[in-house]
Amino acid sequence: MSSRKTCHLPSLARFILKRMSLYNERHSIIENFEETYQEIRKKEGILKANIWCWMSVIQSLFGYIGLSVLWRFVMIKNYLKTAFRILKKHKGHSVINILGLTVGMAAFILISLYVQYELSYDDFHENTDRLYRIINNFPSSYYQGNSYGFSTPPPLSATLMDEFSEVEYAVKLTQRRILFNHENRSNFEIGLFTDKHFFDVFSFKLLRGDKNIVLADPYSVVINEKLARKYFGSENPIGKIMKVHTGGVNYDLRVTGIIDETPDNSHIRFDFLIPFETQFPVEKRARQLNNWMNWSHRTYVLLKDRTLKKTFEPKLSLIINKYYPERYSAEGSKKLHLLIQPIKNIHLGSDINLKEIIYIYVFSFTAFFILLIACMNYMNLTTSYALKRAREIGIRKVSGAQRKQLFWQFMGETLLISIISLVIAIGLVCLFLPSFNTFIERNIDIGIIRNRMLCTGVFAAIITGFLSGIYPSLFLSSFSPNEIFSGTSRSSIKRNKLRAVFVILQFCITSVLITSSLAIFKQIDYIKNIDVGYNRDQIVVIPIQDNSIRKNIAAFKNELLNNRNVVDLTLSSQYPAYVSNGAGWKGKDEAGGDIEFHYNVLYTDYNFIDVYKLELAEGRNFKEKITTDSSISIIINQEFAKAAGWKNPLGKNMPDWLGKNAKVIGVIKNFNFRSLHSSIKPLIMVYDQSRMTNYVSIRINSENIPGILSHFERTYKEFNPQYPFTYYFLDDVFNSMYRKETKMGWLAISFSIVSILIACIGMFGLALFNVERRTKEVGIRKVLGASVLNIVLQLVKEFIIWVIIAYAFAVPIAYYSMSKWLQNFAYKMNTSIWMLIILSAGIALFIALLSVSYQTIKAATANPVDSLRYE
Amino acid sequence: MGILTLREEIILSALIMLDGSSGGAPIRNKIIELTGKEIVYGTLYNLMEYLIRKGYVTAHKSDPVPVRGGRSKTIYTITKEGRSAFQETMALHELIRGQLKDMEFEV
Repeated sequence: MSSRKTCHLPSLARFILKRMSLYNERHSIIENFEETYQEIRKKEGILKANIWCWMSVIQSLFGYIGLSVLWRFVMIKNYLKTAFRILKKHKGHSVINILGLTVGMAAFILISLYVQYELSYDDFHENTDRLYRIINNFPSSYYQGNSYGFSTPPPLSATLMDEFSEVEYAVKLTQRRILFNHENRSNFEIGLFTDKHFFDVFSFKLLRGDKNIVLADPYSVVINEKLARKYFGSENPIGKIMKVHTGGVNYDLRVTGIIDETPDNSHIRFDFLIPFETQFPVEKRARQLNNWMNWSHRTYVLLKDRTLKKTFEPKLSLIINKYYPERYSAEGSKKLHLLIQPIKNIHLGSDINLKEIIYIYVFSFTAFFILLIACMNYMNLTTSYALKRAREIGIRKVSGAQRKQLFWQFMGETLLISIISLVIAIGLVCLFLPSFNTFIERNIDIGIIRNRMLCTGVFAAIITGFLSGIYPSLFLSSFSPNEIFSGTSRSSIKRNKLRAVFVILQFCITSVLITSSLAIFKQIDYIKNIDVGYNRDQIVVIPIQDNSIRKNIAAFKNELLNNRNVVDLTLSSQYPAYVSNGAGWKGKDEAGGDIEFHYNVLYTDYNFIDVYKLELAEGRNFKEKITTDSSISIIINQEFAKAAGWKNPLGKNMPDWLGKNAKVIGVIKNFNFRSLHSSIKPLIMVYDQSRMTNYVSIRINSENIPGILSHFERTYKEFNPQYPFTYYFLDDVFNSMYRKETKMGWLAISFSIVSILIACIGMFGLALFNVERRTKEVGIRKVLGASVLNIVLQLVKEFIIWVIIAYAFAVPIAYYSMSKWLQNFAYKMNTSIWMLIILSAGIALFIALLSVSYQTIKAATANPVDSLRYE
Repeated sequence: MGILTLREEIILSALIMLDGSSGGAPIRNKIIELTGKEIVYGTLYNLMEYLIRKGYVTAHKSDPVPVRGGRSKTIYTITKEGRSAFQETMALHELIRGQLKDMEFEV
């Protein structure tokens, strides 16, 4: 054996062999290797021995891995068995645990599906990363703020393609609602006028037709499958002629292609495509296509490479310089910039305004918090039930389990519970997805998102398992068997500060959610009932879409009035809540300083103020009989007078574009002619018979509404048989403007309910545990003469203190976030946030008490004989 | 008493030939001698684990090897159960062989 010292196993092999601890401990692997190695070396030389050594090491390694996996598996089987036994033994506890995690996970999955869907907008374009939309920007002006728009002039796209080497394709498009006629069917359809490069830029699917030629001929139309079915049924639409009415002209268009329906997650939506020039009458085409002053189309560019964005964007100022020299050199609000916006950012508007993306952040945070609450719940319940498992842990430790093993055992249990919860949660998600879809007005299809849902779910389960498992596992595996069996560990399990921290945190988050949802609801309620300055009840608005009615407007009005339930009617260019036309004002105030602001213009009939029940502050209304009132008599609102700096506005001169000698004849009290997100802006009303004929607003009696509507429809058809009849009730229009906020409110409420539910489940579990632990104490107290109320208070005290502390933390967060949110509104509710906080504190306390009261009262009213006897 | 698998049988027979008790390396050498085929230590140990769990073999550490820094080796010993399982397996072999012969099958 003397050669041993001089020649050993290769040290790396020795190192690897040492790692195989099981072989080492049980089978002395290194010694055996050494022995055989020496033999071979003696017989066949060092090279052979080394080869043998390495081959054996590698092969043994596989054997070792196989063996250790096998042993682990045997242990895992045991862990699983224990886990299921425990689940079965403590049924109530398990149900509470699984329920909490299930609700948390279901909410998490649902919200993350929504968030993922929102973020997936415009993903389907092949070149989505180098596709941009051109946007324009006028730097801030007095009343409008920094305004971005995405309208561009028609020649822009061709110019970009010709003059900029970075641009692969540029395409312009404009969305229109136009009238389609085919045989007996006539309907309004929404679609696009666009260029022939449309399919080169976007990846919308063309089912039939060649993408290079479908839009080549000006008199062609590409329709989607829905329209094909609607107008042609089962016939082949290719080559068929469709009659289209637009811009006062009828066209015969040949169907050249069929497209698939637009994906739900596209910000461009259309049912048909028509070549761009077709929207202009033939004689005006050339001029319109070259009109740099017509800012009403959208332009998209496909850059040759994504990295070109940086060099391309600044070059756009060359276009401004060339075609709008006065805007290029202008200062202030007249200065114009062109910018580009990645198509991915359009839907959420993440770089123009933060409104939509903020909601996404809010949702993501909420999803995360709900999951967090569920996790904390689990941690709480598991650690508080530790007592019941102390013996098991003790026995395991005594029989040789290491802390590491116990830790993984409890982690495994947590993972098992979270997987069970995941399965139930996915079931819940499938169940609720349809109603969730209607609610968020999206179409998340379970078939398409199945994989994504599973991924999210598994992710959630693993995260939940780890988050909620780590602490209890560390805690449980730290028990020393000595303490457990001598009974001294009980106090350390009982006094667990962290548990209080969890409950407080849970209730803190829950309180913020309750307060927020109360505030949102209060605010929406306030807005719906705010005095907007006009009477919007029982007003029907009918859009006049065609010249055939405009020509016979007087007769049309008379015919509409010919019903006893019609009170009055008026005409206007736009209607309240949607007044947007405007112009800029430049003038001097009384001190001679420059004043510049933006105001809105509304062309109305003489009786507009009467029908809408507006109030005049000064001056007089328009009169039908006074001919000068037509177009040169102006009524302004109080805000206008204020902005212009007029103390006595009556008789002041208005700008010439309104007509020579235009003068102010009256001032109306401010009313909200736009949404309540913005404050009241300056407004002028002009009695102009040629421009007021866009909308008829009719005030009606509430009797027999179907009768009135059919009267309107008959009248409408009589004057204009070609166009379909449409109408809206003004209060519906008004409410729909706050739909997003209403939905937010409902969403906040639902999330609050979910988090309250989880927190309650946790409270309930803790109360259950508490009462069980203190049965004897309660018995002794009762024997000594404590009343039921006394005992209940004693048991509930702890929880009340927790909720109160939670509120102390929640108040500043809720206050801050709600004040931020309210800044979105020009009109804020008059209830103070403090009131809501107090109210929600009440609610939270009530709920907390409710969830602990059942157990507590049961314990307090129990007969002390029962609780003390078992000793 | 269970029937041994062929591999277990080979190991046990090697052990019996080494007087019922031996270290790992001699067993391996014996097996190679018996079968003419190489056996990796990993495989040997895994099979040994099974035999130990079934109670056919016990493993214990020997006294340290009498050199400086010498360590103890694992010594495997066949148990009574191991021997009877081996005998039973052998008997089964005989039985099968005999029956095959009676029926005049070529073996």
